[in-house]
Amino acid sequence: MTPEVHQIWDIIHRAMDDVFGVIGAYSQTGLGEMEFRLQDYEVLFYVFPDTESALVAIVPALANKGLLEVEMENARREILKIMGEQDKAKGIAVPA
Amino acid sequence: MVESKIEAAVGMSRKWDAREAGREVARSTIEKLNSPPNFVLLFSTIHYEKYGGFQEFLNGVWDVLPDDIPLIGGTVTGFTNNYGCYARGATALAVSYPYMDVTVGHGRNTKRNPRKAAQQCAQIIKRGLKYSNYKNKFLLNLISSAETPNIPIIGRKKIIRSGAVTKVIMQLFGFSQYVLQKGYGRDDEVIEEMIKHLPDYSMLGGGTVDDGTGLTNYQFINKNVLTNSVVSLGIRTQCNLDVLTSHNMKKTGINFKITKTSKDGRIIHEINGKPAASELIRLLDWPPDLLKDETWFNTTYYFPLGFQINSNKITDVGPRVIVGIYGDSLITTIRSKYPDASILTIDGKRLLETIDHNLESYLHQPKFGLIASCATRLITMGDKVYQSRDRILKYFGDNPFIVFYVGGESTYSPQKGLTFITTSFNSALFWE
Repeated sequence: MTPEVHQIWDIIHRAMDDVFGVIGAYSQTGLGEMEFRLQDYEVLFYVFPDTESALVAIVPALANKGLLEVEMENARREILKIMGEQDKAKGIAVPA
Repeated sequence: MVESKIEAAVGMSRKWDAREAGREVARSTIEKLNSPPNFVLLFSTIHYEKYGGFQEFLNGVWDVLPDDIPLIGGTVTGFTNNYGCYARGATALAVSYPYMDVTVGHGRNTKRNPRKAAQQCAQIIKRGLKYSNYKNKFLLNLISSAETPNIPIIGRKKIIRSGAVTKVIMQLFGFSQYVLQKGYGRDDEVIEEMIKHLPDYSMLGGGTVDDGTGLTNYQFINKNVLTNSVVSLGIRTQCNLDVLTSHNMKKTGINFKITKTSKDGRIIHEINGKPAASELIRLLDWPPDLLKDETWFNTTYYFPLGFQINSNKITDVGPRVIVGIYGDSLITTIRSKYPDASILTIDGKRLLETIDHNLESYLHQPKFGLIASCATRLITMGDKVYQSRDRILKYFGDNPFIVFYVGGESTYSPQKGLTFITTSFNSALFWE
């Protein structure tokens, strides 16, 4: 974490907690992504479907967000693949 | 049914270390072929500059690749292939086909003397394919794109409105362009000259770039890493091929006249007889402070300028993105040749539909394909670029393709002529 992010981390952390309440309430109805801007940072949430979990990135407001989004999506797909394999190993039905 | 003799394969690497990535991208590509490839095309994001460097990346490729296989490539903002969409990593396409002659060429100092660089490159291609009798001719041109000069104190801002600072920049611009070779890509001039020398070739072109910052970019030819150069792959083959550019931009109905430009037409000083930037903002009915570095990607990329492409077809309009505003002048990368211009626009739906408009015009299923797409399409679509990949897969099935995201794209064929624009989707498809 950069020193700049560290300084506003407490505020972002509190705001993120509130966002996770929304994710918990709506992920089962198809909520896929959320983002908010706080001071000079943007916080991106990539939600794992039907869970209360999300992949989170805190990026400077001037960042090239389009390219970051592509790699966030790749990370989400990788994690979902691993979660699917773990569920399969435990004998939990994995949706096609 | 006659069995196809074309073998094509796409490989990739997501490793961080340059040498390891080079080895993996080469291995994962050629291991899918039964015979040695006629050529390899290699695309990489800029990241390896900081993780070992591009010479080390190429060394890794040649640790695996058999000697003497023609190779060209360069740095791109990202890529889409059969496996996914990526803003970091490397990908390659290799083709093996018995009825094909291949050569590679290059020309240096494209920013200082683009026509001379193109002549050098075209001569090498001509010599290399002199004895080939195959009737279909194809050229892939990768040209170093614009690089932002780093002017002390000012840095690399896209918008500088101060009149005094702008005067200094304009004076330093020429020095930077010709001496330091930091400035416009002049890739449109390279392509025009290539066409003069090789008019019966179909061509696909793209400007090598970095991750959108416009600081630096590289070209690859065989075992060498170049800067400020054009690298070309020339093919003569029995295999059928065609090229096509699509942009699907919508006209806003806002038209204007370009009334004063720089000598080369890349800086627009006045439109409708008024200072260009202020007049553009007025025409768009935007608040004067809307255009700033923070909002750059979300404003200008969706509203490119529409320039007349052809002298006798006023309706033939192509998009050009604005790359900067200095003082009250608009900086573009492609020369404006005619006064009539307009403001175009596009949304996500139309960005995706461009792909169908382009690929459904081909009547044959491709055996492999190369697509030069504007980096702005990747940046504006973000993770939705996966929807564009789904559409492309409909046309290619399991057959290999690479979409490489570049700056300043073009196609040329003797039948269709040259289209050199930005924010577009440009295909070169091959079938038997």
